[in-house]
Amino acid sequence: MSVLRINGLTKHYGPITALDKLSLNIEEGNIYGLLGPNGSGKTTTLGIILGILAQSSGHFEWFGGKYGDKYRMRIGAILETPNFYPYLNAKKNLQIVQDIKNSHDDDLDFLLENVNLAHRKKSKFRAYSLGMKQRLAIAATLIGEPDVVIFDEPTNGLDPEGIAEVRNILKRVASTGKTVIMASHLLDEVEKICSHVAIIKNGRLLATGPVGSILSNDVTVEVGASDMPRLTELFSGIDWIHTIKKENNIIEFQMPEDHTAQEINTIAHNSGIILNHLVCRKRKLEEEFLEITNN
Amino acid sequence: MIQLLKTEYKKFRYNSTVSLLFVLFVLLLPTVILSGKSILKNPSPPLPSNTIFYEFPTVWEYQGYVGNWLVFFILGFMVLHMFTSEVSFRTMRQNIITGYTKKEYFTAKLIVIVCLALLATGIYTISCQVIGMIHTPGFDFELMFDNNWASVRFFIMSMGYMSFAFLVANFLRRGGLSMFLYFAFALILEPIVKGIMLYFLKNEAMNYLPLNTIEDNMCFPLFRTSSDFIKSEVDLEWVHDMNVAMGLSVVYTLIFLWLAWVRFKKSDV
Repeated sequence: MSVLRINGLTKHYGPITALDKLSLNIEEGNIYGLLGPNGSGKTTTLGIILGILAQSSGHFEWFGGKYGDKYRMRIGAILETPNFYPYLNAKKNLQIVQDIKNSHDDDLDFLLENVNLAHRKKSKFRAYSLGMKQRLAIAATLIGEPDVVIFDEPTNGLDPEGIAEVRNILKRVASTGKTVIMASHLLDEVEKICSHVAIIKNGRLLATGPVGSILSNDVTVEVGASDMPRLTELFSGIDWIHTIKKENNIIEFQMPEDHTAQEINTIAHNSGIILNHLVCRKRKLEEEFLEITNN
Repeated sequence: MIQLLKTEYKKFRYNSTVSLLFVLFVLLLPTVILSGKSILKNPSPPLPSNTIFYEFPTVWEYQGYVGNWLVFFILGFMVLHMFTSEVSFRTMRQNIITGYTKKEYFTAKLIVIVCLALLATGIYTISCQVIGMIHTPGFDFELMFDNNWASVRFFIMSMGYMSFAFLVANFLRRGGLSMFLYFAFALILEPIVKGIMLYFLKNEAMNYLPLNTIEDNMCFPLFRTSSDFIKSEVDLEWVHDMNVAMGLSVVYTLIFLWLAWVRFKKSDV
């Protein structure tokens, strides 16, 4: 079942087009990663589908229109920064979220325990670190057992420890079977957690689909030898090798997955070149992302 | 409706600015007029004595005039703060993301304004009755309610000021700027326009300015009899008739709220 259908969404800010005819379809249970460089239109997209920004044209529909304009009651979302009443403590802030969601059966202590904030539940929000604020925001998204949770750059501005904590919480949320939409720069995490991705740049959709379909079947190979000019010349002449890049004392290139490291080593050996570095790895989402967005 | 009010109460129950302003209003409403006992022991004519401030039925008008300023300054400021602080904390945006429709969010704020106006009117009514009962010689029960609809006028006036504050906060959204415009409009801009209108038109048209109209619900009591003892170069009424003031204030309040809603509905949050 389609949870969110976006059709031709466009948003202009004066002469700037922040979003240009974006169309997406998100199915129930998808863990959907929204990727794009800063200013690509990710937050604008989320702002429109959450009803806080008005689109210039196009339309979207949540849950097949089942809940009318009350669709946000079935969604838990953080957009950009965690926003709470600074003079209220964690629990009182969550109670307000409960009121708005009209959901009073949530175990707030359990939710706070789940995001490691139980010991600070009586501290005022303004006394929280950025990591704690993010964790409280994640707890707030889970109030009312939403069908969909939306995270917009949930690890922005966090230190490595904070990133690790939030990452673990996100993994737990993603494993509960909810539909998750996540805009993130953490491509490694998106690759691990998400089932689907959409790549946006300058408000345009560049690629979308299951993570596996976005990742090409090519293998990235790094090779090094004492005679680098000869090595470069050798691999430049092979037709199934492409995208050769020279970096310090190694060269990096792409080859189809049906070729192997042994084949590379043999080619070098047969040409009288002894390799001192050989690494073969699957292409990462980050590489695909950079290639798609740079093209 | 009750749930919306409960949620607003939870939001602002621990807000120190709102709490401080409310306590200030409750304390100042009776104490400002009672301070006249020591400050204005021998008032100048045409005031016969300072007892006029505390006795029935005039206590309703003098206390109402004090309330006029307090509602404008304190409760108007409170409404500006309640709206603009939610913008600056970005909780308005989060409330919508969490599940409120724009209509619900707007309605919640409107209910707060109505409740504040009712609360202020209640405090005004009780303080007038207590002060009047204590100070009126030969107290008569009927006197307690002989007030020319003073409580209704006070409520309409409160709604008018707070709706105007709500409109300004809705348009500007920024705390400092909203407060500046709210006070500057009432204390500088409108009086200047009023002065210009008086100079050129020399008629009562100046009384129809919005905040002037709202003020006339609870104007300085002697203004109502000013034509009896002030030799004016122009023969005109300085204040609206009470019924005109009430009717026009309701119209202005509805216009303020409608404009605030149109702005809120159309703008991004």
